Amino acid sequence: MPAGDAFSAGQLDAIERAIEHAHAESGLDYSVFVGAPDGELREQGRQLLGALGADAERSVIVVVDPAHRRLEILTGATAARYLDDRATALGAMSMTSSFAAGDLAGGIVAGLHTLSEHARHPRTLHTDRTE
Amino acid sequence: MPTVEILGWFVLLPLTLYAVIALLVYTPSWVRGPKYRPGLSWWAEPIWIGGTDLEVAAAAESVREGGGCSARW
Repeated sequence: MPAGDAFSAGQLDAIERAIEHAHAESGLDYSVFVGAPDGELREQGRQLLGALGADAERSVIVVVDPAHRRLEILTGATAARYLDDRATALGAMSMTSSFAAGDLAGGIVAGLHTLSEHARHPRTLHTDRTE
Repeated sequence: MPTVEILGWFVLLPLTLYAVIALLVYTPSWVRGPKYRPGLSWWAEPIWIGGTDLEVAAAAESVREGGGCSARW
């Protein structure tokens, strides 16, 4: 098949809004990678986490490989305090159930919503960013 | 029956019907955008929504994660 865009403009807009909403709700930074990298998917996620620099600590990265039907969710060191592995597994479950039905964008939006709901925590002076 | 009328009934009318039905069938998928079909090959360029430049990411050092999970579908 020829290369093209993974999402329509409307789908991209919905995912971006879900990312903004998740950040506003939990204070963590979310990003979603969709592609079919060669090699181990988790290693790809670690590299993406490294590319975020100082923001990696508070980041949650969702790595989706539609070609091989694999999904990885990685949390930075600080983000992992608010979003434990069980909560990320719940987010992954809501994503994969939509992915299996062929709805990539809908699954990502639903998964981000689940993740941010579980990561919600009261603001803490000096440890949470104000923006 | 004149030739023009025959062409109208047996060529123009079926072609018009074909075009209308095709439009009705394909319009929803054009509006919805590309559809992912599990199990078939993936066609799209990699995209990182909410992240940085993918070229920068390709040269970045890996960082150990604090946690997370893996899943398949």
